[in-house]
Amino acid sequence: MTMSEGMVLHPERHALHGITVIIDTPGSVTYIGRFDVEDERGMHLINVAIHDAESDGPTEDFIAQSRRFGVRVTRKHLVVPHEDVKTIQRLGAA
Amino acid sequence: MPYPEMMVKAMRDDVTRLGVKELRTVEQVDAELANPSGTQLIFINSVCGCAAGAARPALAMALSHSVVPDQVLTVFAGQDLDATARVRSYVSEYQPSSPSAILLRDGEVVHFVHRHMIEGQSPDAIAADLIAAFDRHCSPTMAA
Repeated sequence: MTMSEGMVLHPERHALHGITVIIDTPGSVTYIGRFDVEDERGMHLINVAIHDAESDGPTEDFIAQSRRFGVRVTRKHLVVPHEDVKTIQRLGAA
Repeated sequence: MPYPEMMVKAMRDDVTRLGVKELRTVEQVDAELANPSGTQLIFINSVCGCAAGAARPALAMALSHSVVPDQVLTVFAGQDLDATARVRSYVSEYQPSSPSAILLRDGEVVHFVHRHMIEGQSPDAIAADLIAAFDRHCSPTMAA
């Protein structure tokens, strides 16, 4: 094997597979984690940080801190049900 | 659990062939980071094909720039566990992230390229970010 430029080990996965995303919900909770797969249960995230604006402060601060200092993981795996996904965007997006 | 060494050798070689010094033990990490001076880039290598497959060639592009850090180091996350943990202990305000790249000036983090900044990006875009950081924080007169 030579330099692994552009190498993708699992091209059959979801387009967001391996991408760290922000999932906003209809309530006060926001998730940041690495998108794994989507199935009938919902969206599977791994290495997840969970933020509740009602108890943890402004969501904007949570996102800004995650962008600057990285994702503070509290859950190894989490499934966000489809009905709880209001928006989904890349953490790395401008 | 680490992958078999034969699976990751090419990924190590992708980095070390650039002249990057690989640190595989705690002692090697401390020898380079305990008494820092000047600029140091630490590349946290990773098996992950999605992100690391773009990060390694990006590192190669960035290191061909006219302005580079005084010293370029690497550890392999998921493989050399103790060495990687030791590096992270020097930048403990930042969450673990691999692949990633950390630019230090006199031991202080001046630029941190997290995994989430690498995911989905082209090697050119990642290299451009690193080069901009080199231009901002590294001295042309001290370039290797």
